[in-house]
Amino acid sequence: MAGSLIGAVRCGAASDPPPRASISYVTPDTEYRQGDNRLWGVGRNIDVDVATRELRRRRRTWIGEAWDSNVGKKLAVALTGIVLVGYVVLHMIGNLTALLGAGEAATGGAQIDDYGHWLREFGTPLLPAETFLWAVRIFLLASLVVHVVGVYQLTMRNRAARPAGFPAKRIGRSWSARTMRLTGPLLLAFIVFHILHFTLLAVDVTPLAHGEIYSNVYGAFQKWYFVVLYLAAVAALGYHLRHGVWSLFQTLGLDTPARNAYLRHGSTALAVFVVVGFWMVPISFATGALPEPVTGPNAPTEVSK
Amino acid sequence: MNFQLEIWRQDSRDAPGHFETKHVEDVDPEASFLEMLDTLNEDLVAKGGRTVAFDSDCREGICGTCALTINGMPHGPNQVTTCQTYMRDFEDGSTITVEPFRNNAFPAVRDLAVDRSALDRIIQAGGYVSVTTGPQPDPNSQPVTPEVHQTVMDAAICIGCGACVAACPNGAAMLFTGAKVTHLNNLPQGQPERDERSRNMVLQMDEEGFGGCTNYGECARVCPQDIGIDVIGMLNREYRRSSRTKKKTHPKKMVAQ
Repeated sequence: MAGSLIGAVRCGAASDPPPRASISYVTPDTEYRQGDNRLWGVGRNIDVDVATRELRRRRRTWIGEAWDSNVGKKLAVALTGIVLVGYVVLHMIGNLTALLGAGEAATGGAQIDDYGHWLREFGTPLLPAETFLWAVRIFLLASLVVHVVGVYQLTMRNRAARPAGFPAKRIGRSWSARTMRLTGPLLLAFIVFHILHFTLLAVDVTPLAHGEIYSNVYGAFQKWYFVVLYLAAVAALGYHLRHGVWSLFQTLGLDTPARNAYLRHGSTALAVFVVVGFWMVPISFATGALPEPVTGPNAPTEVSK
Repeated sequence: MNFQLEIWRQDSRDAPGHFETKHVEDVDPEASFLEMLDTLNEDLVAKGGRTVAFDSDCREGICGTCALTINGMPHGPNQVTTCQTYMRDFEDGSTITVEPFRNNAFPAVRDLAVDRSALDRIIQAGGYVSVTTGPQPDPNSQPVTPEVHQTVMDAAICIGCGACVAACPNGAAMLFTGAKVTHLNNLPQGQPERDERSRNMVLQMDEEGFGGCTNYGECARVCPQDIGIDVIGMLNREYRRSSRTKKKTHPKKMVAQ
């Protein structure tokens, strides 16, 4: 309506007074202005607002709309969380092959070395070596990126939603829920370190060699600081999972009053299971429960024997 | 009873606010928190000062108009509305901090009064049902089981006070919107707009600038109507459902070959 009035005036004589009538269609700033952080601007014509909002809403695809909304973005975080939790559990079970010991030099060393070899060769001869491994790595990296970017954007929106300097009183959020934004970045830093350490073999404080997993891990966990670092990182993971696993069920809308107790206790149980499983390896090496490697750079030489 | 009040004073929306210390003396322990503020205002009027602005209406806990954050807790120490909070709930001689409901989607009006019409606009976006004026269907063709009825009534009891928003560290309105979606999407009357409702209410919620849910569950701890976070699960579920539903498009015209 406002547009048509302005159009009519423009067609009229130049000496006509300015179109005061069109002002009546514009709601005064003070009435419509509701919040500082509204996406749709302030003090604008309500009819135009609704029209542009409709246009903007229609322009988006369903996935774009979901990603733009807080609920949909959290859904993406939950779905990628499932991928990451699934990987963590498989990784933990795979690590337990270290507990099978150093093996015999004649049969090619530790079981975990064979397991690592099997992972790299998975899919051969159908696929070239390491193809499957790289597919999984890329999938995991993509999930991690979506998880981190989603959480970062949500955190920024959440900060913007409350006035600065007036944080809400803590009235019953759990310790693990409260520390999610602390354990998250810590875990991200640890993942980078962990890949540099045992995958890229870049942190060669102790002797490392490609393919000699048992020897590499044995060497690293003879140093107390690596043991402490890994135990702490896994503890952070446990806290992250205790809230995160239950939270993803709630975000997916799968939690109901009838299931709530099972899901919450199940998440805690999963967190404990993962933490204990991961802790077994560094503790076993540090306490000397596992033998020295028979192959690799940390194997005792004839001279040292 | 005597109290020292630290009251938030703010002249207008854009003016900077500050805490002001007020003393109230000889307060009846059976007086409600709002009655105590009324007495304070009468004193202020007698002395020629500006009264403390705050919202209230029914004063019997059913309208959801009163909205004070008392000692950091929306609606005060008990899980009831501000008007149902009594001075006997506070320690004699203590200092009580009184703030408005804090959220950037709730702009300040004056002092303790905030504009919560953002919640009204969320209701506008999807809180309606289509009613036919023609012949009505047989009621038995649209049964509502006692379980559904209970779920719906537990959500429909929301009075829209906004305490959940004020309690949320992320400034989210998920409990409020979840209650509306649970209320209408479970009933047969709400089915025609079911997916549209979830989508539009979530869109409106985001556009108002509310934050996102991190499942702390603190909203449910201050809700005077004791609405649980199961409504948030329902909202998540309904939004997931609606984002999957394809919009109806006209089929392509067939051509001969």
